[in-house]
Amino acid sequence: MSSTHAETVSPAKADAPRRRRRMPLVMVLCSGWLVLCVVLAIGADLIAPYGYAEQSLLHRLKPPAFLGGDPAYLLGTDGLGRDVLSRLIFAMRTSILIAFCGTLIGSTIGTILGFLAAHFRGWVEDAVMLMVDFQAAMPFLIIALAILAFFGNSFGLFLVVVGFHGWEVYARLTRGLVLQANAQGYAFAIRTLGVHPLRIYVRHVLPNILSVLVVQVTLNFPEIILLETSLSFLGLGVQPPQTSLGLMLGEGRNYIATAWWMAIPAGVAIFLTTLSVSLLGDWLRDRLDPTLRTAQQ
Amino acid sequence: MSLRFVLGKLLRALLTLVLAVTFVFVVLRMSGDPVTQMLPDDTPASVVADYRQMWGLDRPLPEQYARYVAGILHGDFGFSFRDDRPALDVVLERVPLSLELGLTALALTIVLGIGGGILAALKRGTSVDHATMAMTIMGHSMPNFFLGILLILLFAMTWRILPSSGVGTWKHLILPAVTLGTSYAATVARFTRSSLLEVLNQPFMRTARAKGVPFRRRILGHALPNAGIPIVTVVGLRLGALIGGAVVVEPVFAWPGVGQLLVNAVAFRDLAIVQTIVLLIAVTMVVVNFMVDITYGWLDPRIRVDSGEATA
Repeated sequence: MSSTHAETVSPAKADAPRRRRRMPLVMVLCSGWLVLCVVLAIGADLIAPYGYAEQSLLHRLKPPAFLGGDPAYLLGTDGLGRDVLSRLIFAMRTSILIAFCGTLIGSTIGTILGFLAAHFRGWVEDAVMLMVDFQAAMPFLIIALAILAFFGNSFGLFLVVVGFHGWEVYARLTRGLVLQANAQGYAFAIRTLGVHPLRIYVRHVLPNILSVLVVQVTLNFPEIILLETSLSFLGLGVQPPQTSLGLMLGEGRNYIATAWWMAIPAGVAIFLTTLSVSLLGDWLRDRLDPTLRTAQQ
Repeated sequence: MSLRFVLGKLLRALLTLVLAVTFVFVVLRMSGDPVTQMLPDDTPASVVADYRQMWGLDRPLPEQYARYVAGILHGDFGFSFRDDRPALDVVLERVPLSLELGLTALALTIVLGIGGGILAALKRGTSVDHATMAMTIMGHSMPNFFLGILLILLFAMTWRILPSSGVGTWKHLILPAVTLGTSYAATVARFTRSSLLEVLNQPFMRTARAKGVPFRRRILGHALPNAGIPIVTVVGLRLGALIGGAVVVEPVFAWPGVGQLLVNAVAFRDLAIVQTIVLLIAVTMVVVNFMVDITYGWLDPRIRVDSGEATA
């Protein structure tokens, strides 16, 4: 696997003129995987052969069909006789939904705070930047764990906590970009026309800085998936009977010696998803902004 | 390096600590009344009131906050209700094991990450470079708990050459340290490569070459010290990722360190332990960040108090 990646990753990272060619094969594969994930997530109820909590104690720990198991259970069954493939599809739905909402929450809050800091300057800016520094200094996983410990776990709280991951990067980026934009001629020109600041920011500045924020989303999204799956893996995130990719891996861990198919597919799904988004993000960054260097994360 | 620079950084560090303590206090108070949580529901109101008075919960919030801060300054982090011992003692006895794992992973990171990054930069554009960079992307995307399970499956269960869990010999350390160090090493390798490439293009490197300085000395004596400044920074600033990673990796390998303690404490809502660990990590991060800042300013005199924005 590593050798094929080595060969095919390189064109996207090669020198500038070669970058302009059509989408490299790896990017097509990455997009394909992500589209598949989204389709599975949306159509989980229709696509999954069984329900995610449907147990069949007669069919416990069946190996996958390609290893001589029951053809009715393509990826085998778990310790309660639940179909691994169906659970994988539903787990994908939960994990992608959380990552999607989480990215939306963090990017919205961070971007708004960045705009506020750049617009008001003074103590507002100081306060925002102080929070940004604090957040950047503390590992987010620890903060998330502390909040879940103090308030107890519920799906809504978990979603919000996970969503806050990475807000400080958006805030810092947005503040810097808006300050830059405000100093430019176009923003000054519109301002002298007497346009309301809100309109300037939403209609003129935001579209100009959006590409950088989109690139940040591609960095943030895999991190949120990793955060959610880590917490769920530890049993502190998504709670049974609901399922998530991390939770599946956590449950399958105890059976790893006898029924590896319970855990491995979920792990592979997490890995492929974060890898796809990261690779697409790298590629997108090169396309959108040649001045941003790949290593700047 | 001016005194103002150091004082500015010190002030920032203290402010971050105050924020951390305040954060824990606010979350603690917002999460509900500890008295009603600990006493049975049918406790008479007078008993509840007595407890509230005993713990100072009937006082105004600012006073409670002051008492809380004073308690922490005196080393009073509360009682672990599971161990029935001071939370600080429970946490501190786990620290050496976490340090052992963390420092091994850090050493691995530095060797693999910086070594790989240098190799990739020097062999830029070759298959070595591409393979290293592909591996860093994969290492970065790999969830550490999944990597840990795979390593256990291969090395402990299939080949039976390394223990899968617990502590004891150096063999127990290998799998957790590799698992913990991988994604960190990937980040460091990418960063090392790019900052070294940047330095290699500098005019002084061309000068050195024109003067006839041998290759090895050009790299070790001229390029690395200059590229080293941002590398030190990323190693230091990314330490948070290592700490967060340890929380996930320790339970995978049943490594009885602070990370495992934290996960168990969160699961059982042993709040005194949780707050002690959060504050301990906050102190660690603040001290490390402060040291990185100072080192950075000391290594590169161009860095001044507010130049942090340039790197944002």
